[in-house]
Amino acid sequence: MFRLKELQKKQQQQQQQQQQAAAPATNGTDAVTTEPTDVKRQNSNDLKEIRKQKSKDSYFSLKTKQSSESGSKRANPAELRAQKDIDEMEVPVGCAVSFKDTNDILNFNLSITPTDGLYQSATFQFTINIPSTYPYDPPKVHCDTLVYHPNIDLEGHVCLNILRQDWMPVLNIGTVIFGLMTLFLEPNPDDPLNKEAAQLMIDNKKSFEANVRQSLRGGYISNRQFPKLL
Amino acid sequence: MVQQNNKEQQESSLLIWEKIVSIFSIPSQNEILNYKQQSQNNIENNLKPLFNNVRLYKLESLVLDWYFESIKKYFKSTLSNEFWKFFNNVNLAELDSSKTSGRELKFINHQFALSISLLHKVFSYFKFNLFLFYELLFKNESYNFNFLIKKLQDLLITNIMHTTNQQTKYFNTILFMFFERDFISFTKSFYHSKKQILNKEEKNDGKDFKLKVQQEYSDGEIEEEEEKEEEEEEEEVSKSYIMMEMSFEDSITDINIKEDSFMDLCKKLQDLNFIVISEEIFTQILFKKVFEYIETRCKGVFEKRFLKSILEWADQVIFKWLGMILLSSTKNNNNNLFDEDEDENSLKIFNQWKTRLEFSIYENYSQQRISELFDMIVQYPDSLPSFEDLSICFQKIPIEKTMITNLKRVLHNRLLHPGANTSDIITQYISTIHAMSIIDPSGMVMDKVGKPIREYLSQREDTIRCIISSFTDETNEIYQELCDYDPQDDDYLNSFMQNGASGGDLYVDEGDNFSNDDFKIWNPNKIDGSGSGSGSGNSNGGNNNNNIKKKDTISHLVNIYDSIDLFINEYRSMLSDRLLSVVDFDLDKEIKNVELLKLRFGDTILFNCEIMIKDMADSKRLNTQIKNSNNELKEFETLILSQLFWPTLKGDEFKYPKSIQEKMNLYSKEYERIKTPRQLIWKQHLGLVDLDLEIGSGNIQSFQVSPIHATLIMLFETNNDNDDDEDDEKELTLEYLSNQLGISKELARKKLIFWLNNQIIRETSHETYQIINKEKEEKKQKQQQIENPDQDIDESSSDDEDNMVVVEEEEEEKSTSAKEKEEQMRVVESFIIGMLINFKTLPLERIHSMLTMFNSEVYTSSIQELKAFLCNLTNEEKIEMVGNDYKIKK
Amino acid sequence: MKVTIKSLWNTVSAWHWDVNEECCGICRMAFDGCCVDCKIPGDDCPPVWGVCNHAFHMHCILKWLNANELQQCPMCRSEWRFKSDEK
Repeated sequence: MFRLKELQKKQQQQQQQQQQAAAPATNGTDAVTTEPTDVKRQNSNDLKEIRKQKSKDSYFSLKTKQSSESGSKRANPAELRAQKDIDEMEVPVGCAVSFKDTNDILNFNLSITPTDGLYQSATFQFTINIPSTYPYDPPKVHCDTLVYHPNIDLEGHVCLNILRQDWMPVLNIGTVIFGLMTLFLEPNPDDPLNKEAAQLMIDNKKSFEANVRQSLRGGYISNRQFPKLL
Repeated sequence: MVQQNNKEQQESSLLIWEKIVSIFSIPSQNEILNYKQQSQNNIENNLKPLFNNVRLYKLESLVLDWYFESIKKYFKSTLSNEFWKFFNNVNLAELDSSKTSGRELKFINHQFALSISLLHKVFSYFKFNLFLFYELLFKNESYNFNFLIKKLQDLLITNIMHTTNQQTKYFNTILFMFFERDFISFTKSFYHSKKQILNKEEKNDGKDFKLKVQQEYSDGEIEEEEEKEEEEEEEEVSKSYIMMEMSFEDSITDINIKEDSFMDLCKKLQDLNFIVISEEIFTQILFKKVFEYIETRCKGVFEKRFLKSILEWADQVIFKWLGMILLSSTKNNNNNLFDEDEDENSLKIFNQWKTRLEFSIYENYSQQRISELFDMIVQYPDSLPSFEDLSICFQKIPIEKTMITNLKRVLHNRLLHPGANTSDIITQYISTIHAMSIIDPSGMVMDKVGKPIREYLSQREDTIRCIISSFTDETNEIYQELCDYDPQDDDYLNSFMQNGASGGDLYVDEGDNFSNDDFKIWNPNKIDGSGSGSGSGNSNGGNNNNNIKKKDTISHLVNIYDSIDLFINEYRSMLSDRLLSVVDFDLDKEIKNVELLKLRFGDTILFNCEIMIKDMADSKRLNTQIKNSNNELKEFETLILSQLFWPTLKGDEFKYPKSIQEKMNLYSKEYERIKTPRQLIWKQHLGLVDLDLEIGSGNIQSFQVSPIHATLIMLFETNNDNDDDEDDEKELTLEYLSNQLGISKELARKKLIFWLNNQIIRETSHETYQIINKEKEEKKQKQQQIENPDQDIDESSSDDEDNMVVVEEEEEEKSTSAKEKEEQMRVVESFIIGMLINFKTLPLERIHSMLTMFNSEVYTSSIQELKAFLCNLTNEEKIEMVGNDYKIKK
Repeated sequence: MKVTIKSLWNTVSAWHWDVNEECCGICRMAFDGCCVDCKIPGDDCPPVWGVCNHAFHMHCILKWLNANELQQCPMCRSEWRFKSDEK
């Protein structure tokens, strides 16, 4: 089923590809109806579609053809759905997914490197955990990098609407990644976990930005040292 | 004073010495021969004082040495001459057992017996003397009597037999011939006695027994005849045995007499320790005998069990004879002079030889059989007994390696080549499995041997199909196995079930830890050559040894491929073909098959097949329902499929005849009414039509064709009920036909070929076709003849025209998998186009590597296939080739 | 020449749900197949529509509605009500 070597090779390829692909960073706060484009391969003459295809195939896949979904070995529904998501998702530029255990598709790491905004060029690590009730319950995201951000507290909890109240089963891992990316591009002080950062952002944007830069350089904010990411 | 003492001593010692010498000097030959063993005690008493003196003067070793020296001299000169005198008349240089005549052989053996007796007598004489020495001189000291005897024996051998190389050789030859002859006569008498015994019993038992013995007997005869063809005397002897028909008791005594004399001789040889040197010789004979026996009796005969009878024969003939030689001394053990060690020693030697000979029996048999393995496998199960024998050998001696190498080689040469049918190869593979399971129940041998077979079979395209058809073919044994399959026995299924994913549930409850290890259990264990069975991708590394035992034929067959999916896919295609072609829905057999396969391989995989069968049943029901509700649809039936679960069924669409189309629309409406919001999509290319063509009057031909053929021919229909002469058959152009059907001209032409081949229509002019109506044409010709009597109308030419026009381009009915492959390539095509747009030009290898890397799920072709495909695309003018690279055609 | 169709003309067809989308948004399985929990497609695992015209597998949407207090359409977040057809 899952071939580790292939996976690693493809990961490398995929990273190269990401530099080529120009995937839009959509705003994840709204319920994006990024329904996965069904694999209408016969019609994909579009280059973008092809690249999408390539990224989809970058990861291992169950041998589930669309037509014979019941032909393969049945995983539990969560795994099945997660597998589909990963096959079909369009990983935006600056994001990379890595699986520690290729047999365990429900737990993986995500690293985001925003290409724009305050946090650009810094890489942040996330752990994503997919519950067995997926897709009826949202994935659980934990930020493993200490970061100065209004929506991410110092323990790594992430506040993103689609991860909680706005979660819909039609969303997928790709949308979650988009959402996380958006957090870095446009932090939202209205729904904060790090209240000080949010407050500062509202009160004094410049000072907030300075703090962010300082934190990214490994400085101290409120007696707390942040890792040096730049 | 001391000096005087010494002198005295010297004198007295000299006296004693002289006395000893006088007593013990070597007497003449006659004296030795006529020597009788006097009473021991007397002699001892007489000599005691003398020997005491010897001891006193410490002359023991001197005496001994002198005595041995004199013995040596005697042996070398006198005795040696005497010994070889016996063979004066024999041309020793040209002695060869196969060439000498029987008479000469007998003479030689007789002389041999005499010579040995002579030696033996001499030996006994000296032995006695040495014994005296020992008793009176050396008993309390470190000398061992056996040591002395041994020395004597050595002296004897060296000085008589081995003074020159030539002599050694002669002696060996003589020994050889002696033993061989004796062995042969021994076996003969054995057979004869057996025959006698059985003759007596023959009156009680059937004739078969006698025949059997006769066969053995004659085998014995044949053996000897092969060896000594010129042995007239022997033949006479044997004949005399047959013809004389002595009474039962007589014949036995005869043997006994022979045996006794032989044994006597052997005993003497034993005493002289000649057995040691002759061991090699007579065992050589025995080994040769064993080999010949096995080869002649067992070669090519596989239906009998031989090992037991061979061992029995060996027991009665070989070991007995060997025992007679080696153990003769133990029988007549009235001589206290011998140590018990000797007996034990000889027994030990005998056992050693026995073991070695047994080993050689097994070895010979195995080698014989191993060289015939392929034929044995081909004749399985008739050759079952020989396999059982081999299994015994397998346990006794290490033949594993040779067997594996040999079997691999012979299979490679004789089975795995392009000339063999796939089904034959599979049958042989199965036979090999069974055979090897008898020989080696643990399955190790089969794994190693089976590996090349599996690899070869996996490369053949029709393997899967063969195997699958055998699964469902009721006459096949595999089907039986499938039926007999008991889930309780299967380790895989049990362990799988224990892990929570039972065959019954398709899904594990949410929250179960369903690791992928369980999936691996599903795959039949893939075992490579290593003994521990640690195949790649197998989590059950440790359990393999257990699982090996439970493997049966089906597992072996399935093991050819890594996973069972290929099989099931093929079965699915087969099933769909079958279901679609069947007019009458007879599902019971298919249901049974699927149930059996489910039992064997699990529910999940065969899920599609179940749904396919369910579709059939549902369609039937629905058809009845709709028919009843709507009168117009009484004559209409359709098979409704769940599209996703059937293999890809792509075909060309075309327009159905109007009447049919109307019915189809009506049916669709009904269906939608009943089953909102579902719709029906028609598969025009599938289906079967049973129709009759009435050409002329009474000329009815039936056909069972696909819809497109039917539609085509229906266009030629004329609506007149009367067979009027006036109406000709319709002449339709290709264009008209293709328009009517809504298909391309090429397709129409292709489909018309069927009717052309069946001589229903003919091409009258370019792209125009007409029904062949012989009656009408005849009538026409007659008419024409009446009108134009001069014109000759060549009727036969029309047929020729048909044949010439028809291009025998058979429609290639691609198999479903090939169709799927084609579809795959179409998908890939879009990728290639995309890539070329992106990269402008790409060489072949680059395209191939990129496709493999990113689309391994879809793209499974080789670089050759890709090249061919790109060629196609070039022909279709989508891409073009510039040098080594491809680029988009503008 | 006359053609008589001896017995029935056997046709083959395939059924297909009359939905705009090919897959259910929740489980991502084709409608013509069945949802993740079902074995058999067809009437046992049909799609259902909401008044907003979005379709899902019946089982999928029921699960969602049971798990969530807010009866929202997963696609458009409008209030979910089953579209009642005259069947």
